[in-house]
Amino acid sequence: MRARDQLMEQNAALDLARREAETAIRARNDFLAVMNHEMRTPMHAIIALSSLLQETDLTPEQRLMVETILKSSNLLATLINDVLDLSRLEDGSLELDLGTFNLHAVFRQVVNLIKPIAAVKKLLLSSSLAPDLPEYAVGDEKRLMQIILNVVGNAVKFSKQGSISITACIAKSESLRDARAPDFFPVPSDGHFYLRVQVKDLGSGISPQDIPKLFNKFAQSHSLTNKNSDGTGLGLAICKRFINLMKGHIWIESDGLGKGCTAIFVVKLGVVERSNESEHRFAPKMLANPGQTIFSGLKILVMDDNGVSRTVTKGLLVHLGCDVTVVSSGEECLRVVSQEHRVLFMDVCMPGTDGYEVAIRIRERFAKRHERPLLVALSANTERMTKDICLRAGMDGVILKPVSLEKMRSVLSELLERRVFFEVQ
Amino acid sequence: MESNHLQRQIAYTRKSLFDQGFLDEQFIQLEDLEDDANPNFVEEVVTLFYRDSTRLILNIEQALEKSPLDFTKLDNYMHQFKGSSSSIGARKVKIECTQFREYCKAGNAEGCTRTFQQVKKEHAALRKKLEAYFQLVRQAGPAETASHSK
Repeated sequence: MRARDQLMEQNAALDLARREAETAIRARNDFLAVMNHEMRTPMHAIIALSSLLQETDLTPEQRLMVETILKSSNLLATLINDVLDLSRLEDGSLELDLGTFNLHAVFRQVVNLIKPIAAVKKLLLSSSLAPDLPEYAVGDEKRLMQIILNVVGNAVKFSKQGSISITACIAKSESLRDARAPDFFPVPSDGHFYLRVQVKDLGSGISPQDIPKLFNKFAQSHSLTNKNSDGTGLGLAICKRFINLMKGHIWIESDGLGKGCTAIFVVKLGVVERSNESEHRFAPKMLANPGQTIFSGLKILVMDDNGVSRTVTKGLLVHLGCDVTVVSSGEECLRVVSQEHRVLFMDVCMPGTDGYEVAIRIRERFAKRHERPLLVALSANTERMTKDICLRAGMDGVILKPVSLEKMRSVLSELLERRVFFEVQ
Repeated sequence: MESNHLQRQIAYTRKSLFDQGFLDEQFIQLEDLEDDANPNFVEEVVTLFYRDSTRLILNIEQALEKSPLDFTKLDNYMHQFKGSSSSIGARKVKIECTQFREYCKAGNAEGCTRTFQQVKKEHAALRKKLEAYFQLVRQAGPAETASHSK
């Protein structure tokens, strides 16, 4: 009798403890979500305006100060994003955003983004994709890019000289099993393949006993004097969790300090069916009659505070057959925007524009990506910084003005197919 | 015969606007957008431009009378002005706008005032030329205007 009563008491206590823990986690997440928005908004204003400040005439002293402000605020923004991501990953509320995407393009974009940073440190960056690696795949493009960027970024960060090589291929069964991770059981199946990515650097290396700790939260490598360490220490922890969500595995090999490092990860991606592929292929020039276009009736919202520019953009889209609504301010935009609008073009030319703010608000309002309009910035500014700001504000694309009819046609095709469009400069 | 002559006149006027640097490629983009649903798109946009820009010119004139000059405000007005000019392909106007903004950034009041006179001059010159051009186009009638040599 006593034993049974004891057990029942214990069960009740455990149950209570579990419910309290769940409440605490929910409360924490709610708090984080609110704080996240509250923090992000001024954060974006700081980043956007410091970037614009950078483009004005400054004394060398002032320029140094602005650069520090930018670096710090970028770091802070990353931290905010990371903390939120991690908490959602931990309580299982983060879902992968699956879609068809161009796998080869992901690697190209990573190289484009990292090359300038690597060049500053005189590091050679190379990427090689196996010939049998499919061009298109089904998966969470943004998160995959985040993972690769993080791993490659680390390689760059911890290398003082030498080269960094990225190789990607389809994982063959022997390479799928890692002896150090006996609980990783890749299950190949029809319609899926395992992408294997290897990033090798000749940098400072890691001593083998430190390797397991790398994926812990807030782990920082102690073997370096961390003057350059501007990471949050969350990157790899988040990567690991994303990779787990993608039914994959990540591990790091190093022969020791000073002997470089190789990071390898494997993730499961979907194969794009042949029939799907042909559906996605619009020939941009198949339009004989401008009135009957593949964009017929496509609902688009255009936000631009300049009357002439607004009229021209609207004319362009109407000519392509779209159903266009125009607004002249961020406020009006937020009032009018709805799930029916497939794309929102916002002109971000005016300084102090609320285009970025609008993007953030819309992303918050529409929780699921496929429910919200695609957010595309129209900018006359060719500075790289503009593209970065747009990326951070959560835009799906940036186009440089002036936009010709041909360009808009191919932009729309690409947007509808891939859901992103970043103009290569 | 009449219409041929008119066509040639239209083509010639149009070509000289480009050759003399008054208009750039963007104007052609606008022409590309004319179709049955929007047969007068270019003239409509140009009319809109002149309405908008006249207001901006007034604003800038008033701002230039203040002392000391508020260069930020001036730059903002000119940014709008330049944007609109870009949108219709007003090349010479745009060039003067850019110059004006340089003077704003340098805080050069004299430069601003001087350049603004140039902006107004180019703005007015283009207006006259475009008005003459559109008059010819309207004379020719809708069916005739479709074939532009590009």
